[in-house]
Amino acid sequence: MDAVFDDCKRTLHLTQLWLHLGWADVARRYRRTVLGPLWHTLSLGVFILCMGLIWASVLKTDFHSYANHLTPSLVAWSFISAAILEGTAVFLNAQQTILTINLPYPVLVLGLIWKLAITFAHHLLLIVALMIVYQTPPNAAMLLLVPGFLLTSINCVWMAMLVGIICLKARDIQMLVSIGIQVAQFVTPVFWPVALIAPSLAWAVEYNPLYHLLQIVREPLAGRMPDSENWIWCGGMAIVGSLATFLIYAGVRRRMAYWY
Amino acid sequence: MAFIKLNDVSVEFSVRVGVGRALRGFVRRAGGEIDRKAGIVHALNDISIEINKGERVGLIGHNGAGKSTLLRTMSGIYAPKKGTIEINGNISALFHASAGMEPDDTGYQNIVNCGLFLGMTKKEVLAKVDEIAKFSGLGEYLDMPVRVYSAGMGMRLSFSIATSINPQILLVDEALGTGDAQFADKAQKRIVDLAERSSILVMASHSPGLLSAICNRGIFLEQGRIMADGPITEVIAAYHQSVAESAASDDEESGMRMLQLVRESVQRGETVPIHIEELALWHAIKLSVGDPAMLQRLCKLLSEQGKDVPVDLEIETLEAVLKIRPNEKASIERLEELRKIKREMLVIS
Repeated sequence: MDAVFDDCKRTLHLTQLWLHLGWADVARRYRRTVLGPLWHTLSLGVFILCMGLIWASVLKTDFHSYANHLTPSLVAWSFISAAILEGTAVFLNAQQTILTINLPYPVLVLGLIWKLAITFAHHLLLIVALMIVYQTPPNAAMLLLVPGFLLTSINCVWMAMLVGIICLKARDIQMLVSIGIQVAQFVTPVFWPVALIAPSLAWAVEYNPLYHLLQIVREPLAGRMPDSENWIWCGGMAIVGSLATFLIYAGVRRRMAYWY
Repeated sequence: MAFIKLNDVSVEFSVRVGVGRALRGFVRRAGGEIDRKAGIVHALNDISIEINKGERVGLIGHNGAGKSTLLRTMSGIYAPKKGTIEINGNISALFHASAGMEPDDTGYQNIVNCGLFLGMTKKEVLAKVDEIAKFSGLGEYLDMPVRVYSAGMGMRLSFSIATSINPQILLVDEALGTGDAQFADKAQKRIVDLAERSSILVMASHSPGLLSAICNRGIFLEQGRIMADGPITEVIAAYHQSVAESAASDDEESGMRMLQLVRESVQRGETVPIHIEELALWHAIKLSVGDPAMLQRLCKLLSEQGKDVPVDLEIETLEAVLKIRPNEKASIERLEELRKIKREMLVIS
């Protein structure tokens, strides 16, 4: 336990390191390409455009209102799903580092989430583009993006840390997680508006933690207020999840280097 | 004041995960004793060491003796299964890889990458960049991506960064071998310098020459156990002795090990104990059949030691020599003579 408290202290000390890790990772993607990480934004934009045209017709609505749903949805979802997906490999891929230097493991997770936050910032261009095209003025609800994104990030930190630890020990889980995320992408109201689900199945959304994490980022992006229920879920998850992950980390920390 | 204390430290690797393939991977990295039934590699067994300031410790031992595992345990990477470790002082480690070294980043960028991993702030790193760059002697290469560096250049950069933080404890794993002679000298001086400023050096290597040049204390590891601990010259002598003993048992692997030992020593221009060179050569001539230089050297060593040169060996040597210089009269005559002796010996038996 002491070692883990020590790790947390050292992680704070190494703030410059993990900020640099995330930043340098993004910067590296700009190297020798014209668009760098913006390619990711562009691909998301193309995807929204094509999806939007088809699905707007399937859902019998107009492109504008569907794009207004889909764009913030995907921008928020890509952050959450990437945190979990890349979390599976966050320790696995760091074998050389871990076996070379006595590094507190959370440094790597924070580096990852910071990198994804920077990528998320790139994706905000899509939101801005949408607002310009449809002449939507920004509103006050958008300011909630700051606490919303922060709370989702805190949740992403423990989720990435947890799957990172699990996947280091049991490599098969990595595949299971990627299947799980694929399923979650359709089970969670990312592509479809939540109002469309049958009332008898409403619980499937209500008790989906990813839905609430999505909401507190997506709604401010769309200029709407998330429900208080969303905040409570996310706050509760942040506390319970962080605590559980902390205890698990404390239990296995001594053995993690042996799992490589 | 810097110190390292290990009390009864044991480290084991569990290799239950998919035995066959995984087992081999673990053994390569960890070495030590393998307990196949339980699926456990005992990499370090009841190690107790106390290292105090000013000591420059050389870890010597064969591949898989536990040198790297011991260094990693000292740096806090592996928590011991049993026993306790006390460390006082900031540690810098120079292992095969450097934490933070990104092949696509330039040398300068990597100074920042690695410096931050070592716990420096960005400001501290930037203040040291010039000094690190100068010591590395890499000049304009520092503006190029590290992936174009040779192994030696990469090592120079890593070494310059790792020692720039003035660590109180410097752990080095084999890394010094790759640089050129000029840099190796500079590096040696810097290490001795660091150690003199009340820090500790622990360095693993198979090459006795390098260790005896730098270290003042030696620890000889074998299968995760300490075989000898004391003044470096004594420990190296014990190591040579053990190599010689195992080579005398005539199995392929220990012969190779011996050969490697001698080759490394000769490359550095050191003298090798004569009986060890002899043993190594016996293995060498089996590997490269008909090499006249090796055969001649072996005959010379035998006669220098006052041992008889076996007839077969001398015949083989002369035949090899005559292949390159067919007109050497003395050799032809001696060969005739020897063949006659051999025929007579055959008749008698």
